[in-house]
Amino acid sequence: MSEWRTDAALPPRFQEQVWERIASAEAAHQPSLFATVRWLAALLMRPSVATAYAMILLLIGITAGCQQGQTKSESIKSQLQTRYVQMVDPYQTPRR
Amino acid sequence: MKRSLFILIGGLMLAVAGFVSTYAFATAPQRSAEHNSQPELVWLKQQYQLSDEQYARICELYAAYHPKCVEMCHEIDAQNARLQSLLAKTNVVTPEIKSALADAAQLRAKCEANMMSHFYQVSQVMPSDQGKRYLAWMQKETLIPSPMSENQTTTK
Repeated sequence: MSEWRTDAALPPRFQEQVWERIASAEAAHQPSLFATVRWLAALLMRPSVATAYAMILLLIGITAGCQQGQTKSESIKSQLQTRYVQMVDPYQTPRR
Repeated sequence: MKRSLFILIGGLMLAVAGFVSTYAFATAPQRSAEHNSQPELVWLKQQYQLSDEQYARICELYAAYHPKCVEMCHEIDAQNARLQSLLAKTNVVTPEIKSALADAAQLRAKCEANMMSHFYQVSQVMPSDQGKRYLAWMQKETLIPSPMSENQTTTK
C-alpha cells in the first residue's frame, strides 16, 4: 500500500465539487423552520408539556411581579419617609 | 396547530396575570397611602403599626403642630435673608454678622425644642417600643448631624 503510486490526474474542479456535495448533504439534514414549528406544536399538545409550560410562565410572572412590586414599594416608602421628615422639620422643608 | 397556539398564548397570559396580581398585592399598602390626603402620616401608621385611634391622635397632634412649623419656616427664611444681606455687604465678620449668627443659632435651638416637643408627644401616643424607635429615628434625621465623609473632610 505504501509503495502504491498513481499518475492519473484529478478531474477539473474536483475540490470545488467535493465541497459542494458536502454542503448539499449538510443542508439536507438541517430541519426547516416549518418543521421545527410543527415539532414544537406537537410537543405543546402533550398535556404534561403544556402544564409544565404554563406553570413555568406563571412562576416567572409571579417572581417578576413580586420583585418589581417590592422595588416599587420600597421606593414609595422611602419617598414618604423623606416627605414626613420634611413635613415636621422646618430646616428640611422644601422652599418654593 | 390552533390548539398549540391557544396553549402558547394562554401561557403568556398566565404569566402576565401572575405579574399583575403579585405586583398589585406587593404595592397595595403604599398605593392606598398615596391616595390619602396625608400620605406621610399613613406611612407613619403603617411603619409604626399604629391603631386607628393612635393614628387619629397623631393626625390631631400634627394639625396642632403644623401652624407652628409654618411660622418657624417663615422665621428661618427671614433670618437667612437678613444674614445673606449682611454677608453680601462686607468681607469681614462685623458685629452685626456676629449678632445675626447668634440669632440664627437661637432660632435653631427654638425650632429644635419645638420639634422635640412634637416628637415626644407623637412617641407617647405610640406603643412603647415603637415610640422609642420613632424617637431614635427622628433624632437621627433631624438633630444629629450626619458624619462627614472622607471626601468632605479632605482638603486639596
